[in-house]
Amino acid sequence: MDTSKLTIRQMTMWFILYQLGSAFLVLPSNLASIAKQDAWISLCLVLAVQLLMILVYGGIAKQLNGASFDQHLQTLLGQWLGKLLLLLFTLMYPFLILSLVLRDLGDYITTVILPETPMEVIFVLMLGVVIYVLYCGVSTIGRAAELLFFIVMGLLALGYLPLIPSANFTNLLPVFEFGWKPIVHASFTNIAFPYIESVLFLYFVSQTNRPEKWRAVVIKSSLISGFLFMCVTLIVIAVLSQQVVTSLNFPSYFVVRTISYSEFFERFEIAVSVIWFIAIFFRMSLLMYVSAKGIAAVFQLKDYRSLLIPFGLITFVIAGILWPNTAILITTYRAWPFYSMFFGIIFPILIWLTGLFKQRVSQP
Amino acid sequence: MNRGQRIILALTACMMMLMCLTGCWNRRELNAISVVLAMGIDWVDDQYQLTVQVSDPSQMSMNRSVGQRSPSIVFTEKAPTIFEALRKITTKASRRMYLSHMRIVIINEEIANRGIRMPLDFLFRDHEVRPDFYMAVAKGCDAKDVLAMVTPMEVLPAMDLYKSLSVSEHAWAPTSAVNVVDLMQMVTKDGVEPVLTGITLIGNREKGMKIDNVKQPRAYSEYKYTGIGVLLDDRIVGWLNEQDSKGYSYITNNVDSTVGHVKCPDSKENFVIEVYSSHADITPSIRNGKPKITVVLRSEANIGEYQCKADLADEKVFSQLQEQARMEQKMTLENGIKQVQHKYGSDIYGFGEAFHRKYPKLWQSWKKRWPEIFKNELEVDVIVKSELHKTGKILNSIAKQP
Repeated sequence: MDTSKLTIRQMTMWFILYQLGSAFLVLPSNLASIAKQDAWISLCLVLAVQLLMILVYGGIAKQLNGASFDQHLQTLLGQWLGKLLLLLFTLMYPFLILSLVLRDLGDYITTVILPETPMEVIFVLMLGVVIYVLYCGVSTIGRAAELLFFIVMGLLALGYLPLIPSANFTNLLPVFEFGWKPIVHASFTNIAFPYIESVLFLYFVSQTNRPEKWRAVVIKSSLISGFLFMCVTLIVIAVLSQQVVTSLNFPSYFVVRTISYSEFFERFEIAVSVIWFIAIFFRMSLLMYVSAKGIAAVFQLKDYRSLLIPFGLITFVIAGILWPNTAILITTYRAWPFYSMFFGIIFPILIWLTGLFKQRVSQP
Repeated sequence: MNRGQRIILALTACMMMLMCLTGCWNRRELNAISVVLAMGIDWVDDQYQLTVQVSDPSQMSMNRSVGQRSPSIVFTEKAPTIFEALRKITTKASRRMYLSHMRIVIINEEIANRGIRMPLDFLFRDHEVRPDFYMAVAKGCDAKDVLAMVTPMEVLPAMDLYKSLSVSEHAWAPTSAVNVVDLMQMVTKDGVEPVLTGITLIGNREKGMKIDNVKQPRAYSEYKYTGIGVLLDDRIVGWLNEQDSKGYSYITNNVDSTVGHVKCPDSKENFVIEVYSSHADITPSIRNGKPKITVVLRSEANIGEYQCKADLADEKVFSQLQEQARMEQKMTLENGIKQVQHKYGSDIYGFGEAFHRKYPKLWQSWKKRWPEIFKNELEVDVIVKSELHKTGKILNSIAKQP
């Protein structure tokens, strides 16, 4: 059996889980701290930008013509320049995000659930699973996504539907209190994290039997994850009010703790936090896969699998030393959207334009 | 499969199994923690005095020896910060305090005078504390005394305090239970000021702390929830009496069900209306550049007790009673608002938020001096559209046929 192919369904679910990833934890407070009660509007904006970017990604996907993304870069820019670019891109984008995500998970667990557990243990367990599943191949992850997707949806329903009766929708008023500016400003963070990371999905065009469906898959997954983000942001702000959300580190977790029905249906926030374990697992496996694929192409390795363990070790170390304290994290996070946009927007646009140019030159 | 592979496989399997056998670093064995059910925070001698009430585990089992030991244990410790005080309690207790199941936090008036923001910080920051407990202010006594009391109904005093508050909130309008998330919202929003439930002790406090307190039908000492404490920003500025607290509950839509007496139209006696549904709408408007609030109260009630003489079967009499009931409610609401406006100048009703929602631009310029505007310029109109429906199992009072 070919372990490197995905079905359309598997790909959609994997992408949705990827996008939910760690953004789900911090998104409402990031958005609300800038856009206040209009946080949900900025999500509409985010999706609009994402759909525009998908035009670009879809354009590149078409240019690939059956080749993989790394081969395409090399045919487009020549072997040396292509490889150099691929090396820089892989190390500075997916590989960096991989360590960031792992650290996010560690921070979350040690802040709100197990403050005395060393983060290293969480790192090792998560990396172990990710490396193992990548050894088994992409289709294993695809099948896991098919199974776990419904568990995630079920847990989301369990955690957030019971909040609807306690939601006070006047907390969402007034709409547009501060005009468009903060809404646009807030959408930056979400565009960068996780949406324009969709450029990494380009690696998967050649992983499916029907590459022409790739664009539809990305659109579908972006819309579904965007819809989920919006529901959660709306509920969190309606239940807690934007002022409270802003001061919380992990509002989507906090809000589940407030559920209490008849002193019986309550205190199941740990069940809900399983969502993040699952989503972060899929996020990390995708990032690890893309990094390994990219580097394997640069150094012309036969199989990306030999890179998994070294990558795991490097990630383990980097994640441990990424930021010494929370304040540094928050300061760095302000610059992240611009950094990320360079790789997620400017880079693909350049690739796309070069591709178009080359097509025009080669077939006058 | 050769020998080497088999050994490696067996070793891997063993290691996998080892993983299942470990606990986690943060394990808290049940026999090593004390479940804190209620916490009291007092300000004494310029530092925090933290009191926790935990359950005695040996008294929670089925075959306990009733009356030998108190089912609840109270620890108190002083420190400049709450967290320090909490950890310092371990010098007196054999177990570590576990805060996830806290039901109620009581602070004393000193803390409320200094501002509640500071103590709230720890309660939100600590990872164990769940945001689902009530908060109350001990009026005229220390939180420590309230927690040390022996209560008659429930075995655990904390549960008694908690249940009594949630039952009373649903059945008696002057009681308003303040959940910590609501409190946090009220503290952080500009256009609404926080309130806190008051609790006080009556009777002989010394005797109330002994187990003897519950050994006769009438306890020596009991606690009582009394009205609402009005806060401005995060400091307490005064208390509302029963009637004004009721008005507050009506306006903030906190009335599930309540009863209240109304003067008879024809005599000095009263009749009682039992309100079973109530909804208030707050509509802000601007008249001559001045803010105006219209409160429309719609409640539905039955007659619950009748001491008047007029014949209830008469439609005219019934609508007269309804009119009287409306007047009574209008008075309650208007007096309450007036009292709060002029005496405390603290917008506990959230009128400011109503303006914020409807006139966001204007609100930006009002925001800073809203307490002042609320106190001096705001005009409040109360319109009551309540209805009376049924009379209960009998129509008129039982009497000799004329």
